[in-house]
Amino acid sequence: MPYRIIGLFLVLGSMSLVVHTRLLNEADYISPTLVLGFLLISAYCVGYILSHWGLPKITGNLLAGLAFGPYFLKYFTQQTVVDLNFLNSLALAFIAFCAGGEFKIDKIRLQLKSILLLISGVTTIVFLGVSLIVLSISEMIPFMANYDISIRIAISALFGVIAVARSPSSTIAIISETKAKGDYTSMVLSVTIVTDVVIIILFGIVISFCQVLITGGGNIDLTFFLDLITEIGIALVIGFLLGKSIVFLIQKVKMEFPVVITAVGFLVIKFSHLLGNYLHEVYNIGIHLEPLLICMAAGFTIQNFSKYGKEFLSKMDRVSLPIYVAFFAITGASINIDILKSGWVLGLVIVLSRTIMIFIGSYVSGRVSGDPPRIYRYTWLGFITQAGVSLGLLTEIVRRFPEIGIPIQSILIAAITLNQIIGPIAFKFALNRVGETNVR
Amino acid sequence: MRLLLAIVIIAVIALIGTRVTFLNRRLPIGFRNFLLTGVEYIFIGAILGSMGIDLIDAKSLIALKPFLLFGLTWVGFLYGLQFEIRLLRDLPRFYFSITAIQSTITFIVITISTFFILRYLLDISLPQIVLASSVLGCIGSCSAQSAIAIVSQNYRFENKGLIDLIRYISSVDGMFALTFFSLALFILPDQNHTEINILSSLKWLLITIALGGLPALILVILSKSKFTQAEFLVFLIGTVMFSGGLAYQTEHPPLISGLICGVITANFCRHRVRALSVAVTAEKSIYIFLLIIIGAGWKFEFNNSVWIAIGYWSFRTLGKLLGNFLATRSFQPSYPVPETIGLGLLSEGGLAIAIILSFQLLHEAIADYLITVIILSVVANEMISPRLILAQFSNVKRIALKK
Repeated sequence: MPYRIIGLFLVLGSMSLVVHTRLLNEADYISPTLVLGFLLISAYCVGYILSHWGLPKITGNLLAGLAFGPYFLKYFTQQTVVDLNFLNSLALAFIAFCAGGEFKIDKIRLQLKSILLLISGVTTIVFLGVSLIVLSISEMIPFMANYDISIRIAISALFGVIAVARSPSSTIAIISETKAKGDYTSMVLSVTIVTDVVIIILFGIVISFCQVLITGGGNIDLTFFLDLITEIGIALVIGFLLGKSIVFLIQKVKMEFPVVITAVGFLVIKFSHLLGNYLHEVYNIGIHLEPLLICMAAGFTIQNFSKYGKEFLSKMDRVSLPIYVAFFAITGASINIDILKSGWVLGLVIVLSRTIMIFIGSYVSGRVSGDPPRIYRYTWLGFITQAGVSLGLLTEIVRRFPEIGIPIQSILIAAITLNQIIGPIAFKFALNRVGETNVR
Repeated sequence: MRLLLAIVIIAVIALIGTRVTFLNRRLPIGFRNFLLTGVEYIFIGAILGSMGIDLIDAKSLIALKPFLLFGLTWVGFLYGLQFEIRLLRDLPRFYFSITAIQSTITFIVITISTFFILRYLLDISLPQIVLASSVLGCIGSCSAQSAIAIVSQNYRFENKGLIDLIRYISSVDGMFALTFFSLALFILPDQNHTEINILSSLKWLLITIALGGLPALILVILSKSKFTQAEFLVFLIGTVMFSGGLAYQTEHPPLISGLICGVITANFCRHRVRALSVAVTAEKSIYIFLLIIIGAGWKFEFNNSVWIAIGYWSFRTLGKLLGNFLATRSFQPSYPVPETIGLGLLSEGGLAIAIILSFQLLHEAIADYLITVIILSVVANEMISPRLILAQFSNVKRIALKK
């Protein structure tokens, strides 16, 4: 511990010498390489130090990114954070592969009933519960108060659907950090990953419903659901083929596959967006392939349809730490304090209502499916984290409904930020309580 | 989008390349020199770059800079890790002295000769000519191991002492090249000043040492308490990136800051062997990345650079011949050493590319002239080196190809 503290002070001191004193450097722009090196060491140290007080290391990484970033100690600017975004894509691809790889058919089969009940129960209760709570206080929310009831219902539904989203990346990172294994761990992970697919469908349904209520015209287009199912189907098929190709590469070329997989995942992410834009612009086809779903399906294929599943996970795990540290530190640095300041009160209301609904949903589902109390008492704590998917969906809301989208975004970003900080702490606490840590 | 594609293509080529390049395959003789030395990656880079399909365009090259900085610092760090004084003391004096003499003579011959060539052909200031010729000298003083690796894979030699000597020199003379490179930059550290200034040179030296020393100190301190292999990977990547980033931010060479970081780690970190084994794992991928990058940024024009390349190549050959002749004659090995042993050490590879890329980061205007020189020389040397190594042995046996 003392060595980590000394290390942290040394790296902060060196960075200050370059950035703040201007003794050695006169440029305003700080190189992304320097920031990344700095964040890797400093965020690691902060994570390590805070872990002595029981906090998850990724929370430390997040807080380090936040503290050293553009809003507080200002070791680097917002522009550098933007320049480091490419790393987030890389890390997300890596995490999606890991998530798919953790999804073992044999294990799921044993818990199928519980998983399905949890997904349907929690999704329904959180969506309806949060929507109703927002609707009931809508007259107190300044930007909603002036709208008529139908629009307020639509806005409430948007809050509800975002509340359903989780964060597979944080879940995977906490599991990896705590070396957790067991029924509770696999159930939380499976539900989180499947909810990532469910949320895409649910979001599609809600957004078309809102389109009708907010813009006040047209009917709900039923072919839209068919499109969504097609998109998911295509993504799963591509993911399967990608997984098989990676297995081939592993067999024939004997490559260092964590790096190859990250690179391939990155390519998938970018090509999915490119393909979506291309099909829309050239053929007016609105197909959007979910890249993280493709990566997850590929990881799932490697795990379940090849003999490299175990090796795959252990090799990925060996190189995962630098990726997690960098990813969560950059995520922390990306937190917009101005938005948090403006929307934290309503954000807190959303966080509280979402957490209560998650608790009710998972407790009831767990009891109905006959899970042991050891599990259903703590399941809700594993579902609090929120991150990338929610932010992505928010961007879509702003794009479709700019007028109401921007205030929704500021409130929900505040809520997601709070969940991002609280969630990993809650999940680590739960893993310790159910006794599934340090068993890998 | 180009950048993203470029990153992925480079990553995949680099990784697949580590499995098929340098020494792992037995191919028909015609392909061997081209496909197994790493030279092909320069051409792959050229095809992907502005001379080819322009996938890695100028914008992408700028955006790839963080990877380049990391790669260069990592190369320096790897070399530095081999400067463990305790181990260097144990090395056979005989081999070490031959390497030192041949490197120094080659460096002097190239620096002096190219000084006059550059002075005649280029319209740049005198200190810049001194700097450019010194950089050419230090690049020329090192040899690559790719050619010797190919030859050893395919032939069996009776004169084992000679093959060991060539192998030793080509693996150790990079240390001297990097030392000469530091000296060359010490002469003219600031590209904004065109005159030699001892005070700014000393300031440059101190800062360069600090830029490598501070991150190394952090690594030493962090690795003092218990850690896992994954944590050690964070320390290493973080330290190397931090050192390279600090160097670039303060306009110092990342290759040298990495070298200093490596030297300090090698001598003060308890886990130096662990660090070396991790650093070596990424070595080939990084070299391939550097080869692709230099190829992608290459703008070949038939101008003075071609004449400088011919001059550089000729005087390097002369320097290697003279240096190795004098060194081996001074120490009289117990086995027969031909007078032309220097021709067996012409191979030039990844380190030469790393040095010129590192130089380009700081002195872009001068480096542009030198890129073509180095690429042409590297390609020519890789093509002829295996044959020239074979010519040094009177009795060689071809190993039969396994079916």
